[in-house]
Amino acid sequence: MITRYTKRTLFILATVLITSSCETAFEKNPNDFLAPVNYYETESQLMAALAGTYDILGGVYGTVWLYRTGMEGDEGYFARSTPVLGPQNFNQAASDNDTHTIWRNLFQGINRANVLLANVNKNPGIPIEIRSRIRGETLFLRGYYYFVLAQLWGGVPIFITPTASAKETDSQRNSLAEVYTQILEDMKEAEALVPNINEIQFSGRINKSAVRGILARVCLYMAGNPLKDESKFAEARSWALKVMEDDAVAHALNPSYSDVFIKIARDEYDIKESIFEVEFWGNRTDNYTETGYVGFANGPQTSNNNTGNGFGGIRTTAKHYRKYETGDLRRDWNIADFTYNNTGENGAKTMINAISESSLYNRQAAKFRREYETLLPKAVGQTPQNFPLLRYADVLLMFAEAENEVNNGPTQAAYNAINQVRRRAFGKLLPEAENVEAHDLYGLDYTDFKTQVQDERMRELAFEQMRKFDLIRWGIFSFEMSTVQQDIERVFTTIPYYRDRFANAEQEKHTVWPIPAAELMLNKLMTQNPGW
Amino acid sequence: MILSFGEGKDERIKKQQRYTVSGRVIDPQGNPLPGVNVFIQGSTYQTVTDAQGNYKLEVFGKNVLTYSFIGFHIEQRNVSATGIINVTLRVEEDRLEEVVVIGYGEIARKDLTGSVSTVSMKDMEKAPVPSFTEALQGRVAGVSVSATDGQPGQEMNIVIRGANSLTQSNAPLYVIDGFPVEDPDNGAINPDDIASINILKDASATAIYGSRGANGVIIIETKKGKVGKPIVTFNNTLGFQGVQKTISVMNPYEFVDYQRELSRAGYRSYTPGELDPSEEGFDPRGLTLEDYRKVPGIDWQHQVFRKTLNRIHTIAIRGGTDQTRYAMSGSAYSQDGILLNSGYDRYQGRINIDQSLSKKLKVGIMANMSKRKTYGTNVASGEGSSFTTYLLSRVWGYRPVAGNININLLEEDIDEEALNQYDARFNPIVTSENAYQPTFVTDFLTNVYAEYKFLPEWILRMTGSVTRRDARNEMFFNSRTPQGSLISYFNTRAINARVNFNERITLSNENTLTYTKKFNNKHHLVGMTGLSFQESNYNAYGFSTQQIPNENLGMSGIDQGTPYATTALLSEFFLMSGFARFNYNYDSRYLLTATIRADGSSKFDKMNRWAYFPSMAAAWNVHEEPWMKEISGISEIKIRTSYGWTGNNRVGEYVRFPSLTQPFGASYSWQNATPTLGAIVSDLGNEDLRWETTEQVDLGLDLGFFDNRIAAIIDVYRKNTRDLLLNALLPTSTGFNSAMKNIGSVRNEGLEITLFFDNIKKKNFSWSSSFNISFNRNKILALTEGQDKLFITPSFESQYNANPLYISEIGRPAGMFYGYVWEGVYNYSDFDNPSEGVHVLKPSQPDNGTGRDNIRPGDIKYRDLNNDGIVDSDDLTILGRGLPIHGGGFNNDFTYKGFSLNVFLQWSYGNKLYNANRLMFEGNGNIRTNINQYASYADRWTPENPNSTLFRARGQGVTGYHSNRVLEDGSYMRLKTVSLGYEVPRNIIRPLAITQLNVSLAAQNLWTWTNYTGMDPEVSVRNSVLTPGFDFSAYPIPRTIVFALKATF
Repeated sequence: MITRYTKRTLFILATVLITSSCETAFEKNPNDFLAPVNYYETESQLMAALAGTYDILGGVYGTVWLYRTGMEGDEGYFARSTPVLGPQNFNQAASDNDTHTIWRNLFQGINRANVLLANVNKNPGIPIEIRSRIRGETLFLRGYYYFVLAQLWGGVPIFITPTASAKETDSQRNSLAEVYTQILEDMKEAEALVPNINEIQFSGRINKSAVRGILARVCLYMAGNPLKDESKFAEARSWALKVMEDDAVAHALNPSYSDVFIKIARDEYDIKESIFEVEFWGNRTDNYTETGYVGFANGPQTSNNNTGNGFGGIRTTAKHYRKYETGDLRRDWNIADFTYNNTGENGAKTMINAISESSLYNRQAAKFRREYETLLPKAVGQTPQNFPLLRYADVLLMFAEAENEVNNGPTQAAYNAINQVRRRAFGKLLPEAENVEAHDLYGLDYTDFKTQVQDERMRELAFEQMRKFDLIRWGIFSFEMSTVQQDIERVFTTIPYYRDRFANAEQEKHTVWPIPAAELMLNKLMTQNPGW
Repeated sequence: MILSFGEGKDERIKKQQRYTVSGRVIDPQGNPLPGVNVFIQGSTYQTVTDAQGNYKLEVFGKNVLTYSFIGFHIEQRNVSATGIINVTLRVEEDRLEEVVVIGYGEIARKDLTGSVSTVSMKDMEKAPVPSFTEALQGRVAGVSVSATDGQPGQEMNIVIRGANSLTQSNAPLYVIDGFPVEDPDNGAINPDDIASINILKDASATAIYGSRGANGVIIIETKKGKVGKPIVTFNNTLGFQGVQKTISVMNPYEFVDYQRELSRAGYRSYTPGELDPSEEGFDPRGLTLEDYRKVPGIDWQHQVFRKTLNRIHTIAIRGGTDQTRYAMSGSAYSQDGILLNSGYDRYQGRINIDQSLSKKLKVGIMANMSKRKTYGTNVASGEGSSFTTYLLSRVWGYRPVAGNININLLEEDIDEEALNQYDARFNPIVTSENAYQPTFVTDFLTNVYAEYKFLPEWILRMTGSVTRRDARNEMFFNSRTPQGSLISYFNTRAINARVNFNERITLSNENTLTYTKKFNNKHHLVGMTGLSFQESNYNAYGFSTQQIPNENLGMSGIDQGTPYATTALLSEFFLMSGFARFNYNYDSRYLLTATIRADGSSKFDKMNRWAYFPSMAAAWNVHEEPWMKEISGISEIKIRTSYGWTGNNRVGEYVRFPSLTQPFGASYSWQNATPTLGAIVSDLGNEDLRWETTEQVDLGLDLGFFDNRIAAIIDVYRKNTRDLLLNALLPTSTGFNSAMKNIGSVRNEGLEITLFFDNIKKKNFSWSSSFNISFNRNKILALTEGQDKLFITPSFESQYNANPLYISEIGRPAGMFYGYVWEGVYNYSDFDNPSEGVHVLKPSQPDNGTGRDNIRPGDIKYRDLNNDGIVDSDDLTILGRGLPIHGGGFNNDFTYKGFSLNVFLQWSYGNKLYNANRLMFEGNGNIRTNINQYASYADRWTPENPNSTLFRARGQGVTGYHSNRVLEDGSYMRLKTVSLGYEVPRNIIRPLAITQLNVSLAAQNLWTWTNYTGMDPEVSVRNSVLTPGFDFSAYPIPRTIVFALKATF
């Protein structure tokens, strides 16, 4: 007979044995994915984290941005009557999915940047040059994502450390000024850390020119509506000048305007002109999804697979068409004077002869053309074309604008800058050009010069999805949209569906988007933008 | 004849005089009953009847002989001298006395305190179905069983007493021969091998399964061998399946008429003879609309649906001696799906051996193996992004006739006149015939046990089990499938293929110690305690290749393609539990049960790893009270009540960990180089994650009248589930969409009634019925902090995916339909008519979302709820419930001499179904040309038919709006099973050495009464708690009629 004590001892022993061995049995740690704490130890791991941070650019510029977010302002419109509701028609609700996707993408990018910034120096064994450069690129991207957020929504919560847990996720909005301060801080720090564009020889990675050019843009936005910090014109001027005076790189315009975009279609880089591009890649015959919609969503419509399918998502306004002077080569490049045939060889077209005002509204955006793509086979809806975020022409125009503001009137340097852009527009930079100065501007006062810059930006940067933001910072968005509305009402007897788009846009609230409804519902500290 | 001696522990008996009792045990029909336990009450002296029902037992002194057999009343006889005692056992139709298998033990129903439903296997066996879950439908109050659609091999969706969990699984826990299985493939078990199914519903019954009991527990015991000569049963079923209904589509005349209404192109391509001679395409000899009245047109449904063969063959041998009992069985099941080239095959084998090593020690082993193959197009999911890639979409929508006489629609792979960058419509016959995406599953399940009765009151039982499932999924997309077509704009991979392997291995060990004691003949005590361990490993690997050069090699040629995607997945978990149960009853009058279980799981962090699930139950058998015995007519009154906690652990193995992944989607290409895979923190993790807890209270009443010829079981319950394991949305400013959190709470309350009637019980004729009905009310009590509603969109076609169809809101049931209120169409009276042909919408009339200027008579109209003249998102409202109000079944058994008839009706009432097919095929909501429509749309609004409520051609308004236009009543009553059997008289079959021969004709889903206009009201192709009742291109549930032959040797 076992005594009571032996029994008890045995029981305790058994319990201890079982529980101690089970503690290890419970340790089922994941071996299917990586734990963040074990990562960021090697250069290639840092590069992978950097790729994840860049990836957001593709998310933002890869889809609806190109044709359904209303960024083209008064220069065009979404060429479909459905979906009816959305930012393309300036009638979206706060629950709009497309705009929420952009919000989500940008904040994802910010968190990815924050994670990388928190870990970039984890292993001091990685050479400092490599870590610094990655840090610089990441800082810039964080600043850039905040810049886009600020343009779209105004003040948003600032996060400079990674989201740590799913608890206490409420966050309050910072003021727009605070957000811009953060952007400047990030970008200025980045400027010192990233290489020159001629060292890397392509425009898909962040380089000094890109940082400086975007800093000039940031400063112009700070100087404009709604912040109106006019002291920033001088700073914008000086950042633009740094790009223009960088002799080592020697930025210059491509003598041919169309060649800038043909190169993009061909996946070629032109680092003198195109300073910073979102990189898209591939044709979906593999497992990657790094394709975009450049040339499909915002190129002319066609179902000809040889040319490359086009959705034809944007058509132009007569106002935009009429902004070009006779001989301006940019007009028939930016606005199709043809339609692609649905059959036939690559690029088969039918030319358009009609120039009645009403027919102009049928013309399609054609800055990005799939017929020049070299990667075959061409995918149905996706393209490898990069999307330009900063071109040298933009830098010149930003300089001209800031110079005019700083000096309360155009200087010779301002004329030089804008006239470079104009000469190229009329083919005057080509080797065979004659009468080079024929279209130069001269003798304008502050206001006229400012107007010229504004129109020049419309012509030069058409469909590069900056027009809406430009109009807002100049404070003329509502007015310019109303002119198109009136044009439409004057021209058409049967009012087309897109008239409402221009009418809707005149409402004050459309200078920013509504904070996504889902964010408002789940983040108790979030507040809605006025009017929404 | 078997003789058995006790081991002589009862010395008192031994000293007395020895004599022999023998006899025969038969059933009321006079059939011998083999395997009946005959024993001396209060001792271990026992024997079992042989195949002829004979027994012989040596007895000492004066005793009570007890005859006991599952399914029959226990009979007792006093014996004191040698003699012959023949006994007729009465069939135990008195459900209140049967033995019920509960978790880790069994108990007489009269001593049960919890809510446990026993499924009548006798009735279930009548249904000619591959899986017991299909036969379970409507059988048990509180157990909702429904099919998502009729795809062969598809698992049924089983929810017990309403859904607790909003985003996680609500499937019950299965306990098969004592082993808990969270995710069994119920097709692995041959329904013919099942001896009993008991369903634990309330907390008192389920709490013994603790963290996994909250969704209810289904306990399955398989058939064991019985002592006696081997009994061979041979069961053959052969029959046909066919579609229950088809939907009439437009005939060629109606189709062409509609195409012409859609556009000028319709005139040009179908009726060039009617064009103006000046118009391009005019052909004086061309067809006119009238010509199409004579064109037969292709009936695509007729081409794709077929009558098919359905076969079930099973053979079983069961028998044993009193030391060894065995059961062996094998089965083959083959179902050719009613859609071309689809189906389900299963081969299964099983063996059970129980061996007594001594009076104290018993061991056993069981093994089950099954191989299954499902094949064919997955009908309810598309082959691409457009709705026209769904198989039934193409069956209904494919043109009945082409305008161009050179096009032979039946022969061509694709409708070339409908081929563009948004649409590629493949011939449904060709794609079905070329579909190759079979899944092969092998299940291997083996259990061993040892039971040691080391003291009279103590039993130690130790069991171990290994289960392994491996599955192989093959897909080969040849050039005649949408995914491999070289014609379609959507396919960039040319001919491509994929293969995936996955394997799950689960090891379990369960140990229980049971103490049974009766004091003073009044106090009954059963105590049980146990310890269990479970460990599970899962891995999956797969790869795909594209641009495969030689398609004729099939899967063996995929190595010639270019690899593109590979998958690899690994996961494992560990669960350890301790549990105890205490059952006490006083004189079978006052009953008390208490249980507790502690579970520790590797899914949760150390801090939250262990959880405790207690429960209590009490019952009072009122009829056992002496003062009740006086009252005649009442045979049973039992009041039960229980309260307890159960848990749910249905989350991924690793959700608590933050994870860093490198998905292809997060890559970036620099300098046109192959993209660098981005490393991103894809999940925040949540180390605070813990069990979801369901608190349930149940009040039950069991009634029996007139010797239990009428009986009732009534239960009311309320379940509150808190700390819901919810895939909770996060503010996206965090950089994350969601995280698994313990947040939110849900309530389910309901009423269940089961009634039994022995209506007629004559010698040659009997009629008995059972009826059950259950009501469940589901209510969301809380969601994520600050969130008061959840919108969900089922995915099927991009424009419609942009608008939510479901709302789950605090204070209401989950999964309500949401959208606009449909008001028919705008009539002429809604317009001002300033001049001939000009219609201007009256200011009093709201728009329909397309803008006032665009609205014409015959356009769709919605209700402007806030009366602001504009139909927009402010006019969205709740349109109806997705969950039924009640459901149940009504079973009738008739016998007349050798004939038996079983008629089983099953219903569901009160839920709505979203017939999304009608969005596309009753109005062409997505505006595609050359696509056919349902015949009902021929009656659409036209100036000549201005009273129709179906909008005109192109009058669909905003594409993508959801409204109650296509929301239909989903209530139905179904004649689920009808079986007519005949027991061939013994004198005819005896010369054939057959002991029993039963022939029957059985039908499943014979007839359905419903107002639903779709193929079948039992449908939910995007099934989840948040998205019930969505119907788009569902595989129709077939009607089955079989001839069955069951022989016993």
